[in-house]
Amino acid sequence: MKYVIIGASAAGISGVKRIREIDPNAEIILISKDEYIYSRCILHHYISGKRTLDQLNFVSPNFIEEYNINWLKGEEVIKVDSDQKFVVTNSNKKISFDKLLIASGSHVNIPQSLKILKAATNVVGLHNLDDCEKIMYLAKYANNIVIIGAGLIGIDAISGLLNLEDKNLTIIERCSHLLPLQLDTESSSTYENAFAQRGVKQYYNAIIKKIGITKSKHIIEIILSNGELLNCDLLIIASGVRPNVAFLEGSGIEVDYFGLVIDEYGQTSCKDIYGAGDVSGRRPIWSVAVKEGIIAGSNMAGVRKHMTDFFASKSTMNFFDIPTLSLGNTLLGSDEYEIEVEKDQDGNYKKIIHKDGKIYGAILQGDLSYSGVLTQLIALKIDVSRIKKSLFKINYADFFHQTKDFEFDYEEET
Amino acid sequence: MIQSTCNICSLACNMDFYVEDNEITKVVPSKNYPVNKGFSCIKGLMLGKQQTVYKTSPLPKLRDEYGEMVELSWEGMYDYLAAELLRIKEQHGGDSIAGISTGQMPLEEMALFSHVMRNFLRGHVDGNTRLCMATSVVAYKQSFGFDAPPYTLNDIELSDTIFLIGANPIVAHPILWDRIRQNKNKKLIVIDPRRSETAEKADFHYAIKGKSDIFLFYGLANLLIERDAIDKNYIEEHTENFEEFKNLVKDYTSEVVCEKTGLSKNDLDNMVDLIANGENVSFWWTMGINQSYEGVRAAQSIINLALMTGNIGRAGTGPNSITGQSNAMGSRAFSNTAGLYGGGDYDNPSRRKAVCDALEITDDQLIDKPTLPYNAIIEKINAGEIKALWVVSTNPRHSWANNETFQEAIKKLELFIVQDLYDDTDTSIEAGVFLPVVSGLKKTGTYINTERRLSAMRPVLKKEEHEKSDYEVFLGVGKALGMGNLLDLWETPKDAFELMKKCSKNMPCDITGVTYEALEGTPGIQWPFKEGMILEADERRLFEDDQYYTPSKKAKFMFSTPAENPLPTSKEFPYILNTGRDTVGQWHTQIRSREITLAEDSYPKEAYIYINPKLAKKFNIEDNEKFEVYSINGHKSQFAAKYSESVTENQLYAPIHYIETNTLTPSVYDPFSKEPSFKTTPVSISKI
Amino acid sequence: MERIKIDRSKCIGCLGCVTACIVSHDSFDAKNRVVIDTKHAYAPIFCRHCDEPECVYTCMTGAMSKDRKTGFVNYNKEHCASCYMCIMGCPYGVLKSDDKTHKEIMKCDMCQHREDGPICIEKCPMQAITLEEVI
Repeated sequence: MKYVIIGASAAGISGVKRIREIDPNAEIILISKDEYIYSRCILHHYISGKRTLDQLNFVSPNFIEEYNINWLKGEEVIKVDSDQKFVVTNSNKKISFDKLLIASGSHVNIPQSLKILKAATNVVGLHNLDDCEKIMYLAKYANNIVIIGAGLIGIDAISGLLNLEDKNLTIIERCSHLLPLQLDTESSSTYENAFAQRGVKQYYNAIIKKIGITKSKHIIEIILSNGELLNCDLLIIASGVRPNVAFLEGSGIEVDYFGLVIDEYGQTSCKDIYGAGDVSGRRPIWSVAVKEGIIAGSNMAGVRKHMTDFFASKSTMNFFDIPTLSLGNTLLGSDEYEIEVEKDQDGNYKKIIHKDGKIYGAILQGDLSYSGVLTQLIALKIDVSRIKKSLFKINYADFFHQTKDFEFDYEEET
Repeated sequence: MIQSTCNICSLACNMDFYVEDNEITKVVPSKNYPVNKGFSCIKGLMLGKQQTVYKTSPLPKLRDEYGEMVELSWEGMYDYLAAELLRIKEQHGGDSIAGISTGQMPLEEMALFSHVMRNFLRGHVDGNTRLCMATSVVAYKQSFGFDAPPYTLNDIELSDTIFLIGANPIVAHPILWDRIRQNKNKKLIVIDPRRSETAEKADFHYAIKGKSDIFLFYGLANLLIERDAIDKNYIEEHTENFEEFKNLVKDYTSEVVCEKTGLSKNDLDNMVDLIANGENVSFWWTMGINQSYEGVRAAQSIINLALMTGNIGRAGTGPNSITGQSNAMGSRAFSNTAGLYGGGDYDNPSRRKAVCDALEITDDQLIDKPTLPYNAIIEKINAGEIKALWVVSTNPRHSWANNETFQEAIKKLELFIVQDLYDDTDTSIEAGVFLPVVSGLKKTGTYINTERRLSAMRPVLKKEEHEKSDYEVFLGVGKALGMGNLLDLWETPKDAFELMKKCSKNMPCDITGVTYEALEGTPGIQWPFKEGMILEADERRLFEDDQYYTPSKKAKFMFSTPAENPLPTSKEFPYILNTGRDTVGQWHTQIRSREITLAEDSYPKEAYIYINPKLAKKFNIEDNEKFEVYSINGHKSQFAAKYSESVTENQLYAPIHYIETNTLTPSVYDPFSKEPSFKTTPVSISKI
Repeated sequence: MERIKIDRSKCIGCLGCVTACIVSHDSFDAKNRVVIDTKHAYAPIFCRHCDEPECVYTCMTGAMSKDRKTGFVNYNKEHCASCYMCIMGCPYGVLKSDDKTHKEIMKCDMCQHREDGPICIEKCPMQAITLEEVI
């Protein structure tokens, strides 16, 4: 059996691993634009110099040999023929397959309103290693660095750049506070203050009115709708991603508004062609990509496995050594939901949003110990009304159950 | 790395503290220390957390006219206290001043505290050790001529037949249990009214009725005599009073004993077999024996068994009291409370002279009588005779038997001083004067554990601005009191240790051969260790030479006809409340152990009580439901029910870690030791 | 593979296992815990080395990995970015960061450095935890 996998990030690599674990004799060809296997989620540590390229690798150093993979790196698939079952790469290699996994990921989305930026020389996203290299290069000569978007990627970018000396860092966000999808004003203010202390200028509820760009396509300034003018010689766009599906045009593989369409087995509209990860444009987080890769790989190699409803509204962050966890819907209001808050003098902040015995959202800042139970309670919509203790103290003891193999589960009470 | 002593339970494990920039990075149980040999319980391992979770300002506080606590400088406070103490002494005499101290601080601090309070102010000082090992002290003293626990802990590894009596080491002394487990060739017998954790793991568990222990041991003695399973030679050569003892115990026939204890004849015979057939039989007891209206005689009924079977002075034998606190022994020997520094009675002229010479004081500068015991101090406060009380590192509002009586006492005091690590204990929140002190992490001193082993407490961290050790506070107050040259020899803990060495000279607890240096980073040294002796072994037991400390050099059989239970169950109070420790992560009134954050999710925040489900169901009380317990002492408390088969139907067991428990215990004491009877309170229960 | 079987009814909450864990790893924090439920019954919460380990799936650096030979989920602290996704991911709330630096994840390693296996099992006075072979 010959497997071709497009993409060497979370989903692709998980798929490769799973296929090899099931089928020791398979021929596995991995094709990636990336020349290294690295974790996109920790690129800011590369920018800051905390990690080397090797330290971005999320598999063992001899993974390719160990798993006996034929890896075509630096190759981009430009066409898929789903009938004849082959792909074509940018260097015009034609590679046939029995089963194909599309895990081609996503790219930075430049909003339609800022189309002007597409051609600019000093604008960059933060999504892959090339972006990093570009940011690091441009940042050497830039004094005024502006980041658009105070979401996770924008904050990653800025925390990566904080190590550089004598730079004016500015962040522009449409919403009222930092990390608006994850945090409430209380928890975001902790980070906003920390950034402010380090001299980062922050504009919230801010809309860009105009971007000043030279004839040589060099951005020099940004004007906000309130008229304020910001000097800018490096602009980082962190306002979302779009799936890499352009190469699928004409392949007959179904792509919708969000991205590649896959079913619960990870299969696309075409038999023997599977998809996983950001390319579906639906839940662009690491753990979902990993699990989708495993499920697709499993089914490709003949072990039936289907996706459960992955809970994707969750994230952790750790900036300035202040950890924060955001789960579920943290924006629900006290008009309809009960909101419980606990704060202490050490800066620990906890908030749980619940109603009728079910927890819908939570934010923990500071101490995150043992909080995985909360994730599960929210994801599985478990009724906790029978548990007579503070929601902040809930632990697995009240759900304790061992399977016959002494694993834990949430199936029944003891 | 600094090796220091865990100042919690009586094993006093040693721990290696790793420190960087005045911060503890890691605490590792000392591998070379014979008590704990590289392991400990969670309390020792988490010692580094002290005063990090709960912090108290390092400046002393005085309650002002509006009832608010206001901070003073240390100098200002010393002057204030000195003036107040002198005023009270002047107006009401030394007997109107009392202190309650602790088994948790170094012996040097105990010694100095009593030098100030007893020798100078002529007051009384008793310790919370009265609540735990006073009974054993008196029992040993009467039987052996000196308070001398004969064993070394290794004996529990060498014994082939181990009796644990009213002891639950799995919970109370986990390291001791570890050592019992090292002993692969033993029979383990647990005698406990409750099916404790340790009982669960024993070869034999005998669930006797509460406080029927003395009947059991008299009965066993009788059966051993009848069977001729006694060491006549040993009795003849090394003991006194055996015939009288024999005469007494003959009345304790199996029929009587079975009726009193609830055991079967078969149970008794089996125990006699175990004692008779064991080569090295050891008997270990803790609070189940000590905390009783008849503790001393019960302890001696165990000592008698060991003596008559010759199970003493040899490896793996002994009548062995395991005490409660880390420095219970330091307090017994060097606190100048119930006896002179180094031992001996206050009316013994030669001992008085020796102590005066050692301290370079005159006879009239040495207090001339033993302290009033704890209960008498509280009673005399309530009677208006004692006007000033200085509580040091203990929490009597919570831990004192019938603890409401302490609350009443507080109101009657003119001066109520509390000295503690924390200003928020049940006791310190009531203080008129609060003196904050540092934990053992910043102190120097010496501990003597349950097997007579001296070990060093050495500062692991440096003190910060305004921070004081207990020693410095006592010294500061002493100087402000105008003690003058009476303190010249007491400048440092090391000075105090040298004085105590001199006081111990030629006593059973002679430590003249011990130096501070010899205790540092070492396996410690058990007493006796006289000047000139060479330390040949790290595990030494007493009486290998069969020489006791009595004038005749013989051990005494001590006994009485068992007393009537002063508080039997009645129609109105038909159930028996037993109390004790419940989890390893909790210590006494939880003041110190609440800083063990790793343990805090492993026990309930609110008081609970073990109840047999059958009894609970009679009252329609569900598992975990709160209900009321009424005590014969007139008080009631609420507890959550914890269903358990470990208690019989007429018995309840309440952890001492919650203040509700000692609200219910009675003001009843052993006549000799004055230790409270914590274990058998008649109660009734009701659903709320 | 081998897994630690937990018998809750035998646990007395003595934290011997927690202490043992700290001592075995020459550490100051534990990789296991014992908690009580609403009815005050003890529950030792130990890493299961899951067949489908969420901590591995959520790990974006590869610091958490499932060893195909032993079945154990291993944690490489040198590779960890302290993003805490694994803490959030573990459905049973087993994980936390270390108490001092908050850099290291407290993750059971089955005492692979010891010949005799997990020390917690050795030190449990009640045999509430035992080592069992599972498929």
